[in-house]
Amino acid sequence: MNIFQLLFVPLCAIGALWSVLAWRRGRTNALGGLFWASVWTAGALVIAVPDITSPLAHLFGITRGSDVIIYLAILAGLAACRYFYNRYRRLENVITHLVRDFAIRDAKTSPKEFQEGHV
Amino acid sequence: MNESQAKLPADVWVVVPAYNESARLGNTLKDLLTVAQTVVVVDDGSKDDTYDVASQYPVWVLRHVVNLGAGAATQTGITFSLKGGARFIATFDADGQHDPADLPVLYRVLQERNADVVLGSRFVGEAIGMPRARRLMLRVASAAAYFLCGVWVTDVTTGLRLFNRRAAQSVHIKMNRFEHPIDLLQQIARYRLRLVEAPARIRYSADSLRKGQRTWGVFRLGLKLLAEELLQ
Repeated sequence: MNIFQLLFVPLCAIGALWSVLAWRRGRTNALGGLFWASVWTAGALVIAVPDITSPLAHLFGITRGSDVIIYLAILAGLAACRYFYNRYRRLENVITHLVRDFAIRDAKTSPKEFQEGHV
Repeated sequence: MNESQAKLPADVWVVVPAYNESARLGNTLKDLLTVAQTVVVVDDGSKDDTYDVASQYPVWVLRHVVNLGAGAATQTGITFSLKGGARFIATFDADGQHDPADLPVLYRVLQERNADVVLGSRFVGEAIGMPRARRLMLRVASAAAYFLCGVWVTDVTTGLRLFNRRAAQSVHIKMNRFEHPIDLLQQIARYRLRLVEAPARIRYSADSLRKGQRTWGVFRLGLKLLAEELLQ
Protein backbone atom coordinates (compact mmCIF):
# COMPACT_ATOMS: atom_id res chain seq x y z
CA MET A 1 0.00 0.00 0.00
CA ASN A 2 1.22 3.52 -0.75
CA ILE A 3 0.93 6.59 1.51
CA PHE A 4 -2.23 7.84 -0.21
CA GLN A 5 -3.93 4.49 0.37
CA LEU A 6 -2.69 4.35 3.98
CA LEU A 7 -4.17 7.78 4.65
CA PHE A 8 -7.42 7.77 2.73
CA VAL A 9 -8.69 4.20 3.07
CA PRO A 10 -9.05 4.64 6.86
CA LEU A 11 -10.53 8.11 6.35
CA CYS A 12 -13.15 6.70 3.97
CA ALA A 13 -13.85 3.88 6.42
CA ILE A 14 -14.40 6.48 9.17
CA GLY A 15 -16.70 8.36 6.82
CA ALA A 16 -18.75 5.22 6.20
CA LEU A 17 -18.95 4.51 9.93
CA TRP A 18 -19.96 8.12 10.63
CA SER A 19 -22.80 7.85 8.12
CA VAL A 20 -24.11 4.67 9.76
CA LEU A 21 -23.88 6.24 13.23
CA ALA A 22 -25.69 9.36 12.00
CA TRP A 23 -28.50 7.15 10.74
CA ARG A 24 -28.63 5.12 13.97
CA ARG A 25 -28.78 8.35 16.04
CA GLY A 26 -31.59 9.73 13.92
CA ARG A 27 -29.58 12.61 12.47
CA THR A 28 -30.32 11.34 8.97
CA ASN A 29 -32.86 8.93 7.48
CA ALA A 30 -32.10 5.37 6.39
CA LEU A 31 -31.77 6.26 2.70
CA GLY A 32 -29.33 9.09 3.41
CA GLY A 33 -27.29 7.00 5.82
CA LEU A 34 -27.14 4.06 3.43
CA PHE A 35 -26.29 6.25 0.45
CA TRP A 36 -23.37 8.03 2.10
CA ALA A 37 -22.09 4.87 3.74
CA SER A 38 -22.06 3.29 0.25
CA VAL A 39 -20.23 6.28 -1.23
CA TRP A 40 -17.52 6.21 1.45
CA THR A 41 -17.20 2.41 1.20
CA ALA A 42 -16.92 2.57 -2.58
CA GLY A 43 -14.27 5.28 -2.18
CA ALA A 44 -12.29 3.12 0.24
CA LEU A 45 -12.52 0.11 -2.11
CA VAL A 46 -11.46 2.06 -5.21
CA ILE A 47 -8.49 3.55 -3.36
CA ALA A 48 -7.47 0.24 -1.76
CA VAL A 49 -7.90 -1.85 -4.96
CA PRO A 50 -7.56 0.55 -7.94
CA ASP A 51 -7.83 -2.28 -10.47
CA ILE A 52 -11.38 -2.93 -9.33
CA THR A 53 -12.57 -0.23 -11.75
CA SER A 54 -10.70 -1.63 -14.75
CA PRO A 55 -13.48 -3.91 -15.99
CA LEU A 56 -15.83 -0.90 -15.98
CA ALA A 57 -13.26 1.19 -17.85
CA HIS A 58 -12.70 -1.50 -20.48
CA LEU A 59 -16.43 -1.64 -21.04
CA PHE A 60 -16.26 1.97 -22.26
CA GLY A 61 -13.02 1.51 -24.18
CA ILE A 62 -11.02 3.47 -21.60
CA THR A 63 -7.68 2.07 -20.43
CA ARG A 64 -7.59 3.18 -16.80
CA GLY A 65 -10.32 2.81 -14.22
CA SER A 66 -9.30 6.05 -12.49
CA ASP A 67 -9.95 7.95 -15.73
CA VAL A 68 -13.55 6.68 -15.76
CA ILE A 69 -14.00 7.82 -12.16
CA ILE A 70 -12.61 11.27 -13.01
CA TYR A 71 -14.78 11.67 -16.12
CA LEU A 72 -17.91 10.62 -14.24
CA ALA A 73 -17.03 12.86 -11.31
CA ILE A 74 -16.55 15.89 -13.60
CA LEU A 75 -19.85 15.26 -15.39
CA ALA A 76 -21.67 14.74 -12.11
CA GLY A 77 -20.06 17.89 -10.70
CA LEU A 78 -21.12 19.98 -13.71
CA ALA A 79 -24.66 18.65 -13.57
CA ALA A 80 -24.81 19.39 -9.84
CA CYS A 81 -23.43 22.94 -10.44
CA ARG A 82 -26.13 23.59 -13.02
CA TYR A 83 -28.88 22.18 -10.84
CA PHE A 84 -27.94 24.14 -7.74
CA TYR A 85 -27.24 27.37 -9.64
CA ASN A 86 -30.73 27.25 -11.13
CA ARG A 87 -32.25 26.56 -7.72
CA TYR A 88 -30.32 29.50 -6.26
CA ARG A 89 -31.48 31.83 -9.06
CA ARG A 90 -35.09 30.76 -8.67
CA LEU A 91 -34.91 31.40 -4.95
CA GLU A 92 -33.24 34.77 -5.53
CA ASN A 93 -36.02 35.71 -7.97
CA VAL A 94 -38.73 34.74 -5.49
CA ILE A 95 -37.11 36.81 -2.74
CA THR A 96 -36.65 39.75 -5.10
CA HIS A 97 -40.29 39.71 -6.18
CA LEU A 98 -41.52 39.48 -2.61
CA VAL A 99 -39.32 42.35 -1.41
CA ARG A 100 -40.30 44.43 -4.43
CA ASP A 101 -44.02 43.83 -3.94
CA PHE A 102 -43.79 44.85 -0.29
CA ALA A 103 -41.81 47.98 -1.21
CA ILE A 104 -44.34 49.05 -3.84
CA ARG A 105 -47.31 48.22 -1.61
CA ASP A 106 -45.88 50.37 1.20
CA ALA A 107 -44.67 53.27 -0.97
CA LYS A 108 -45.05 56.64 0.72
CA THR A 109 -44.89 60.23 -0.32
CA SER A 110 -44.73 63.28 1.90
CA PRO A 111 -47.99 65.10 2.68
CA LYS A 112 -48.97 67.84 0.26
CA GLU A 113 -48.76 70.59 2.90
CA PHE A 114 -45.20 69.52 3.68
CA GLN A 115 -44.30 69.53 0.00
CA GLU A 116 -45.22 73.19 -0.36
CA GLY A 117 -42.47 74.13 2.08
CA HIS A 118 -39.80 72.62 -0.16
CA VAL A 119 -38.16 73.65 -3.46
CA MET B 1 -34.71 79.32 -20.20
CA ASN B 2 -31.42 77.55 -20.86
CA GLU B 3 -31.03 73.81 -20.55
CA SER B 4 -29.40 74.02 -17.15
CA GLN B 5 -32.55 75.64 -15.73
CA ALA B 6 -35.06 73.49 -17.63
CA LYS B 7 -37.51 71.47 -15.59
CA LEU B 8 -38.54 68.01 -16.68
CA PRO B 9 -42.23 67.38 -17.35
CA ALA B 10 -44.19 65.68 -14.57
CA ASP B 11 -44.49 62.50 -16.63
CA VAL B 12 -40.72 62.01 -16.44
CA TRP B 13 -40.18 60.01 -13.28
CA VAL B 14 -36.66 59.94 -11.84
CA VAL B 15 -35.69 56.79 -9.96
CA VAL B 16 -32.98 57.17 -7.31
CA PRO B 17 -31.77 53.84 -5.90
CA ALA B 18 -30.05 54.44 -2.57
CA TYR B 19 -28.11 52.31 -0.15
CA ASN B 20 -26.61 53.83 3.00
CA GLU B 21 -26.67 57.32 1.47
CA SER B 22 -28.08 59.30 4.40
CA ALA B 23 -25.08 61.63 4.37
CA ARG B 24 -25.44 62.65 0.74
CA LEU B 25 -29.02 61.94 -0.26
CA GLY B 26 -30.43 65.16 1.13
CA ASN B 27 -28.21 67.35 -1.05
CA THR B 28 -28.80 65.11 -4.05
CA LEU B 29 -32.58 65.41 -3.69
CA LYS B 30 -32.40 69.14 -3.06
CA ASP B 31 -30.57 69.64 -6.36
CA LEU B 32 -32.61 67.04 -8.23
CA LEU B 33 -35.93 68.60 -7.23
CA THR B 34 -34.93 71.84 -8.97
CA VAL B 35 -35.14 69.87 -12.22
CA ALA B 36 -37.41 66.88 -11.67
CA GLN B 37 -41.04 67.01 -10.58
CA THR B 38 -41.57 63.32 -9.87
CA VAL B 39 -38.85 61.52 -7.98
CA VAL B 40 -38.88 57.95 -6.64
CA VAL B 41 -36.28 57.04 -4.01
CA VAL B 42 -35.79 53.31 -3.46
CA ASP B 43 -34.06 52.60 -0.18
CA ASP B 44 -32.34 49.28 -0.78
CA GLY B 45 -32.41 47.99 2.77
CA SER B 46 -30.08 50.64 4.14
CA LYS B 47 -28.61 50.26 7.61
CA ASP B 48 -28.57 54.04 8.18
CA ASP B 49 -31.46 56.52 8.03
CA THR B 50 -31.56 56.88 4.26
CA TYR B 51 -35.32 56.24 4.34
CA ASP B 52 -35.92 58.97 6.92
CA VAL B 53 -33.81 61.47 4.98
CA ALA B 54 -35.73 60.75 1.78
CA SER B 55 -39.05 61.05 3.64
CA GLN B 56 -38.30 64.69 4.39
CA TYR B 57 -38.57 65.57 0.71
CA PRO B 58 -41.58 65.69 -1.63
CA VAL B 59 -40.66 62.42 -3.29
CA TRP B 60 -42.01 58.91 -3.40
CA VAL B 61 -40.08 56.67 -1.00
CA LEU B 62 -39.98 52.90 -1.25
CA ARG B 63 -38.01 50.58 0.97
CA HIS B 64 -36.63 47.09 0.42
CA VAL B 65 -36.80 45.16 3.68
CA VAL B 66 -33.47 43.55 2.82
CA ASN B 67 -30.60 44.72 0.66
CA LEU B 68 -30.99 43.25 -2.82
CA GLY B 69 -28.61 45.35 -4.90
CA ALA B 70 -28.58 48.38 -7.18
CA GLY B 71 -30.11 46.47 -10.07
CA ALA B 72 -33.04 45.26 -8.01
CA ALA B 73 -33.61 48.73 -6.52
CA THR B 74 -33.55 50.28 -9.99
CA GLN B 75 -36.10 47.78 -11.28
CA THR B 76 -38.34 48.36 -8.25
CA GLY B 77 -38.31 52.07 -9.06
CA ILE B 78 -39.02 51.41 -12.73
CA THR B 79 -41.89 49.03 -11.93
CA PHE B 80 -43.40 51.56 -9.52
CA SER B 81 -43.01 54.37 -12.04
CA LEU B 82 -44.74 52.35 -14.76
CA LYS B 83 -47.63 51.61 -12.39
CA GLY B 84 -47.81 55.34 -11.65
CA GLY B 85 -48.21 56.17 -15.34
CA ALA B 86 -44.76 57.50 -16.14
CA ARG B 87 -44.14 58.14 -19.83
CA PHE B 88 -40.41 58.44 -19.34
CA ILE B 89 -38.25 56.99 -16.59
CA ALA B 90 -34.79 58.20 -15.66
CA THR B 91 -32.32 56.69 -13.23
CA PHE B 92 -30.06 58.91 -11.15
CA ASP B 93 -27.40 58.10 -8.57
CA ALA B 94 -28.02 59.02 -4.94
CA ASP B 95 -24.42 59.90 -4.10
CA GLY B 96 -24.26 63.30 -5.79
CA GLN B 97 -21.99 62.20 -8.63
CA HIS B 98 -24.52 63.19 -11.26
CA ASP B 99 -25.55 66.68 -12.26
CA PRO B 100 -29.33 67.11 -12.41
CA ALA B 101 -28.86 69.61 -15.26
CA ASP B 102 -27.93 66.64 -17.47
CA LEU B 103 -31.43 65.16 -17.21
CA PRO B 104 -33.07 67.74 -19.49
CA VAL B 105 -30.22 67.11 -21.94
CA LEU B 106 -31.00 63.38 -21.95
CA TYR B 107 -34.68 64.18 -22.42
CA ARG B 108 -33.96 66.46 -25.36
CA VAL B 109 -31.64 63.90 -26.96
CA LEU B 110 -34.28 61.17 -26.56
CA GLN B 111 -36.87 63.32 -28.29
CA GLU B 112 -34.63 64.67 -31.06
CA ARG B 113 -33.06 61.36 -31.97
CA ASN B 114 -36.25 59.37 -31.50
CA ALA B 115 -34.44 57.03 -29.15
CA ASP B 116 -35.82 54.49 -26.70
CA VAL B 117 -32.91 54.68 -24.26
CA VAL B 118 -30.37 57.41 -23.61
CA LEU B 119 -27.30 56.72 -21.48
CA GLY B 120 -25.40 59.60 -19.93
CA SER B 121 -21.72 59.05 -20.67
CA ARG B 122 -18.88 60.68 -18.80
CA PHE B 123 -16.71 60.10 -21.87
CA VAL B 124 -19.08 62.06 -24.11
CA GLY B 125 -19.41 64.66 -21.34
CA GLU B 126 -17.00 65.29 -18.52
CA ALA B 127 -15.51 63.30 -15.66
CA ILE B 128 -14.15 65.62 -13.01
CA GLY B 129 -11.50 64.11 -10.77
CA MET B 130 -11.55 60.67 -12.37
CA PRO B 131 -8.30 58.78 -11.77
CA ARG B 132 -6.45 57.54 -14.83
CA ALA B 133 -6.69 53.94 -13.65
CA ARG B 134 -10.47 54.22 -13.41
CA ARG B 135 -10.60 55.71 -16.91
CA LEU B 136 -8.62 52.80 -18.29
CA MET B 137 -10.75 50.30 -16.40
CA LEU B 138 -13.92 51.77 -17.89
CA ARG B 139 -12.46 51.58 -21.39
CA VAL B 140 -11.70 47.91 -20.86
CA ALA B 141 -15.18 47.44 -19.46
CA SER B 142 -16.66 48.91 -22.65
CA ALA B 143 -14.74 46.37 -24.70
CA ALA B 144 -15.86 43.55 -22.42
CA ALA B 145 -19.46 44.74 -22.65
CA TYR B 146 -19.25 44.78 -26.44
CA PHE B 147 -17.95 41.23 -26.39
CA LEU B 148 -20.75 40.10 -24.07
CA CYS B 149 -23.65 42.12 -25.50
CA GLY B 150 -22.71 43.24 -28.98
CA VAL B 151 -23.51 46.82 -27.99
CA TRP B 152 -20.83 49.49 -27.88
CA VAL B 153 -21.21 52.13 -25.19
CA THR B 154 -18.49 54.39 -23.92
CA ASP B 155 -19.71 54.34 -20.32
CA VAL B 156 -20.93 50.90 -19.27
CA THR B 157 -21.44 51.59 -15.58
CA THR B 158 -23.32 54.87 -15.88
CA GLY B 159 -26.24 55.23 -13.50
CA LEU B 160 -27.65 58.14 -15.50
CA ARG B 161 -30.20 56.76 -17.97
CA LEU B 162 -33.48 57.71 -19.54
CA PHE B 163 -36.05 55.26 -20.95
CA ASN B 164 -39.25 55.91 -22.78
CA ARG B 165 -42.22 53.91 -21.54
CA ARG B 166 -41.92 51.30 -24.26
CA ALA B 167 -38.31 50.59 -23.38
CA ALA B 168 -39.03 50.53 -19.64
CA GLN B 169 -41.81 48.02 -20.23
CA SER B 170 -39.62 45.87 -22.47
CA VAL B 171 -36.63 45.47 -20.21
CA HIS B 172 -36.73 43.79 -16.82
CA ILE B 173 -33.53 43.85 -14.81
CA LYS B 174 -32.89 40.31 -13.59
CA MET B 175 -29.40 40.82 -12.21
CA ASN B 176 -29.77 42.36 -8.79
CA ARG B 177 -26.34 43.78 -8.09
CA PHE B 178 -23.73 45.66 -10.07
CA GLU B 179 -24.06 43.20 -12.94
CA HIS B 180 -27.23 44.94 -13.97
CA PRO B 181 -25.67 47.38 -16.50
CA ILE B 182 -24.66 44.44 -18.66
CA ASP B 183 -28.06 42.82 -18.12
CA LEU B 184 -29.65 46.04 -19.38
CA LEU B 185 -27.38 46.25 -22.41
CA GLN B 186 -28.14 42.64 -23.31
CA GLN B 187 -31.87 43.31 -23.17
CA ILE B 188 -31.51 46.55 -25.13
CA ALA B 189 -29.81 44.52 -27.84
CA ARG B 190 -32.30 41.65 -27.61
CA TYR B 191 -35.36 43.89 -27.92
CA ARG B 192 -33.66 46.08 -30.55
CA LEU B 193 -34.26 49.27 -28.59
CA ARG B 194 -32.80 52.46 -30.07
CA LEU B 195 -29.90 53.41 -27.82
CA VAL B 196 -27.94 56.66 -27.92
CA GLU B 197 -25.46 58.29 -25.58
CA ALA B 198 -25.55 61.85 -24.32
CA PRO B 199 -23.00 63.91 -22.41
CA ALA B 200 -22.98 63.59 -18.65
CA ARG B 201 -20.96 65.39 -16.04
CA ILE B 202 -19.67 63.08 -13.32
CA ARG B 203 -18.03 64.59 -10.28
CA TYR B 204 -15.80 62.27 -8.28
CA SER B 205 -15.35 62.76 -4.57
CA ALA B 206 -13.30 60.82 -2.03
CA ASP B 207 -16.47 58.94 -1.06
CA SER B 208 -17.40 58.05 -4.60
CA LEU B 209 -13.91 56.88 -5.42
CA ARG B 210 -14.16 54.46 -2.50
CA LYS B 211 -17.06 52.88 -4.37
CA GLY B 212 -14.55 51.25 -6.67
CA GLN B 213 -16.46 48.05 -6.53
CA ARG B 214 -18.73 49.29 -9.26
CA THR B 215 -15.84 49.22 -11.75
CA TRP B 216 -14.49 45.90 -10.51
CA GLY B 217 -18.05 44.69 -10.43
CA VAL B 218 -18.14 44.89 -14.21
CA PHE B 219 -15.56 42.13 -14.34
CA ARG B 220 -17.18 40.12 -11.58
CA LEU B 221 -20.36 40.32 -13.53
CA GLY B 222 -18.62 38.76 -16.50
CA LEU B 223 -18.33 35.61 -14.43
CA LYS B 224 -21.92 35.83 -13.30
CA LEU B 225 -23.07 36.42 -16.87
CA LEU B 226 -21.15 33.40 -18.05
CA ALA B 227 -22.87 31.41 -15.33
CA GLU B 228 -26.25 32.77 -16.48
CA GLU B 229 -25.53 31.85 -20.09
CA LEU B 230 -24.00 28.44 -19.46
CA LEU B 231 -25.80 27.10 -16.41
CA GLN B 232 -29.40 28.20 -16.98
